[in-house]
Amino acid sequence: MSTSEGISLPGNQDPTPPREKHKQKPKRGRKKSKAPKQTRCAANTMDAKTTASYFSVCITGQIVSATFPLGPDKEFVFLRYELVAGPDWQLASGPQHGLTQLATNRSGHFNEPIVFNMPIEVTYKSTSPFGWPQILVSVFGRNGSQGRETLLGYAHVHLPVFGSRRPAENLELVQTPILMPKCPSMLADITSWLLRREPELKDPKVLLDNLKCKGLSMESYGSLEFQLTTVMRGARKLGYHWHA
Amino acid sequence: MAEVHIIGQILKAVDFAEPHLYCKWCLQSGNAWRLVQGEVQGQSPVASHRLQNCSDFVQPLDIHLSSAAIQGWPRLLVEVYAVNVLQQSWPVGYGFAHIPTTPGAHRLEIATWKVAPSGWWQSLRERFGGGGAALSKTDLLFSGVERYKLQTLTSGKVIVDLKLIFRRFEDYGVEFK
Repeated sequence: MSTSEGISLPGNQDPTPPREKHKQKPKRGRKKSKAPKQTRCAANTMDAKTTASYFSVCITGQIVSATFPLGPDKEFVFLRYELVAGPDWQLASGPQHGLTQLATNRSGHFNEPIVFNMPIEVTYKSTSPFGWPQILVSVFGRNGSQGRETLLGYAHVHLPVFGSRRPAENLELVQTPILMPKCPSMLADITSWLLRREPELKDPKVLLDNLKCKGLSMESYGSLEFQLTTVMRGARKLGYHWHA
Repeated sequence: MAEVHIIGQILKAVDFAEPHLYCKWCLQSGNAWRLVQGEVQGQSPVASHRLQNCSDFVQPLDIHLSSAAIQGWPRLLVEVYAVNVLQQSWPVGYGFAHIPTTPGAHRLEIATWKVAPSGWWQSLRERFGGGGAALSKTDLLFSGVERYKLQTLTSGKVIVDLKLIFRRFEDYGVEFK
């Protein structure tokens, strides 16, 4: 059975540890180029001892823009994104963190979307859909080139699951609200107004956990738009159904 | 064993009268269903919107269940609580919805209800005293057994976005079309 052909994506490093590579080579009998441009999916049908079966998900798209209905609080806005996934997931290619440019909509109307156009191209390998990767974006703002960077909010969304949206909907933007943490008490509110310091979460991954975000108080203002599509491989063979 | 993956978010609550809301949710299923991975209950942070009258919870859901029977199909129970300036909280909406029975992307709108105040003192306490009446036995939420004694009012809606992945149901002869 012909199994893994490499998926060639530019800029890929082959992340499989050298031990695994030696295991697969003699059984294939095929010449695989060791060029860093190929990612090898560890298909298991040749090797009876390893029973893990992978499917891989390649997500391509961009963070399109941020929209604030009454204009952003600061002049320049930039984003820092991070991809968070469960324990079974392995990032096969693509960056896990990223930082966008400083963008503004100063010259246009105040509630025009602030366009980032930040590409996201990642490939994940996993044995189970639990812990589906999410993208967690922190939005920061700055007034002019000498100002201090302050937090404008956080946003998080699951990356599109398999190809579950209908093809007509894929071109629409996924919108997520931007949530800004508020001060926990009135004294903290007064202190932050006097010192001009906004509260920030020490570890924004707390927002992705269901029980740890219990006492927090957030205010939502603005939304982020994403355009993401998925290509997957090997999931139907493992018996997963995701279409109606 | 057939498996179900529920991946999604409890997005927002709309049409509630109070601005600061948080949501306590839990997923219940019958005896034949086992939780493999994930958490079946959670609580969102208190959320409000600067301009509109809605609350964006954006609470992620990621649950992996395995089932031996179709009875006891899982359902999502949602309780929306309001918070006032003095940090007192009281329930303003109870609701539940069954997880859809076809795989794919779904958007559920859970309509909620709350306990109606039974006199003028109760309605005064609801406005100024930190909250109206709450259910003492929360299994009234999903069972229809003793509901005839209850008086309720309609409350807002909770919008949930779910993507479902099913596995190995056809080995047992279960069809979804």
